Amino acid sequence: MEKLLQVENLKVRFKTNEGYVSTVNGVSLEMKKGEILAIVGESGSGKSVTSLSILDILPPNGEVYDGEVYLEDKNLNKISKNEYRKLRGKEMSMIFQEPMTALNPVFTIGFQLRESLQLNLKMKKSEATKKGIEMLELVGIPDAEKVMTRFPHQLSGGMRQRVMIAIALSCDPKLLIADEPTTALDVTIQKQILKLMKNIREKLNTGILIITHDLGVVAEIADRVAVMYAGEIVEEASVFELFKNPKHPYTRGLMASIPKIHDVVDKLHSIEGMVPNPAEMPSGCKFHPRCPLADNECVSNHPKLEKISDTHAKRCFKV
Amino acid sequence: MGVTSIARSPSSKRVNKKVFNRLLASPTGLVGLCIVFFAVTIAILAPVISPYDPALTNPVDRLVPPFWSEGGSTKYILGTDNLGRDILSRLIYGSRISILVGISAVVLAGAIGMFLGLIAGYYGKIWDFVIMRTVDAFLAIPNILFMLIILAVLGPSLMTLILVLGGTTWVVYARMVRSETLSIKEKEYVKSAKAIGAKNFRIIFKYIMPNVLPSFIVIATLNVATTIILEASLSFLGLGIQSPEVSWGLMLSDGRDYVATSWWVATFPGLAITITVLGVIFLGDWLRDVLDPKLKG
Repeated sequence: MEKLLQVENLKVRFKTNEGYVSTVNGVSLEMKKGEILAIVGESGSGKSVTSLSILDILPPNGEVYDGEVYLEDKNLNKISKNEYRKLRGKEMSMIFQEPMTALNPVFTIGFQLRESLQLNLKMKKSEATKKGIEMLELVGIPDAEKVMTRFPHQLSGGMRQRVMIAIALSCDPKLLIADEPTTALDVTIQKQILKLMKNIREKLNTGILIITHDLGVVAEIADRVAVMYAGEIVEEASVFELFKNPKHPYTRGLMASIPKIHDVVDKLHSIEGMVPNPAEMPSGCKFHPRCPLADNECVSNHPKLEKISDTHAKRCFKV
Repeated sequence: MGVTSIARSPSSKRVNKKVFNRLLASPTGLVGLCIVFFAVTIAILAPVISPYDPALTNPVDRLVPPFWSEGGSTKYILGTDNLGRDILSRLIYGSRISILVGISAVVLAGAIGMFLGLIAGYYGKIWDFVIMRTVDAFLAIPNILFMLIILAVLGPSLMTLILVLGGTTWVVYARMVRSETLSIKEKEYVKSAKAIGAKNFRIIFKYIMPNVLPSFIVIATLNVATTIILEASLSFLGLGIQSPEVSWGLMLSDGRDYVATSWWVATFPGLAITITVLGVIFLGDWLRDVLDPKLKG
């Protein structure tokens, strides 16, 4: 399959009152066309920041200070802000976590669906309306024509997330970034949305980068998984490999934290400690303060991400 | 093409009907609309309906009380002032300037304040610093002193009055709009707009401004009141409307010396201001509800 997205050694920092704080420390990713890649990690692991910097929509105090992003063969570091803006929506698009606030409350669904089409593809209003209705039907909204005239508050959370997906996909982007798309939805709707995203991949061959902290979602939808911790990828593998044979102690900890329906336990498993504050990163391996396997080597040396097979890489000395 | 036109025409008709129904359902909105409509009609028709020339003095009929009081006559329905001018005619003519000044100054101030507030809140950094420090500087100078200086330099006229009132009261809107912008720009729909490649100006005017509008309208209508009163203060100090022109504010200040002996001279313009302002506020409140899609059935 052809290459879609390549991120090389991406580093992002934020300007704070205490100086620069680096939240993404050299992330490298690769995606093929029509592939679903999941980035998993706790809050504060840098997974959202990674996705925002791919689209170049970091908050004003954030900046990419090293690394390169390629979309197909285009080096996105070399293009102007204006060219970058033109790529958004058309070539790559994003959906966000909170469907309740992700639509502009003062305009109808139709207006918001047409907007991206009129903006990016220079469609006429009537064409855009037709395409909008098509998109709503694609994401499984019944009575699409009627929904076009509705306001966001008149729709349920699941419907709104579908509309968001319809908007994000309306210009047929090659890459869709989904930042925790199902976190705010209840499980049955979650399942429907995940199924929808999989269908869309089949139909449109869109590459989907899904960001989540929910391993259930990963198992459901992803082809490959990258586990992030403290701004780094600590393990990367195909979904099957990762669930069958997790290597990194952090990944194992995450797996062990999933409650199992058949085991009766008083207390759920958890990984001791907290994600380190980006301003006070530990030396050596960033996971060592919380790692059951850590020894002196882990405290003084920083492990590299090394391949253990074609489909599996880990960043650990001990396994 | 066909699909859209069929789908659109009944829906827009329905919206209009809804707006009308909601006006009927909201008694205060209806009252507000009636008052404002009445005031504007009077202002437009002033030369036709006014019984006398508002500037015509009549030393013989000084301080005649309204017709229902002792000593009043139906010749002067609301009585006369200290120079024997007919109060009803002055009220009718005064509405022209009071309404014109009140509304134009608010529109001017609102436009400046909205624009600068959006820029300061959205772009932040140096823009925010420069605009907000200017606002602070305006707030640090007593408003009335500032207006007096400008009016004294430019010379009083209707145009300068509007410019001065608009040019000094915009700071209120700028602060309000900036703070609302700061919170709205963090909303996810603004992030989504960026993710579909919308330009900054589009985000400001399509995403942020419509969401600031409800609070903005409430402040603006309340400010119509303040502006009418401010105009009165300036006219009272001799730098606003100049005789023989007449405004409610000027009438109010004319009546000040006679409050104890001839109550009607100050009472009627005062009532006119109160009622008009109340009407504008009711109308603004209703307008805010209509503009809020969450309240549309």
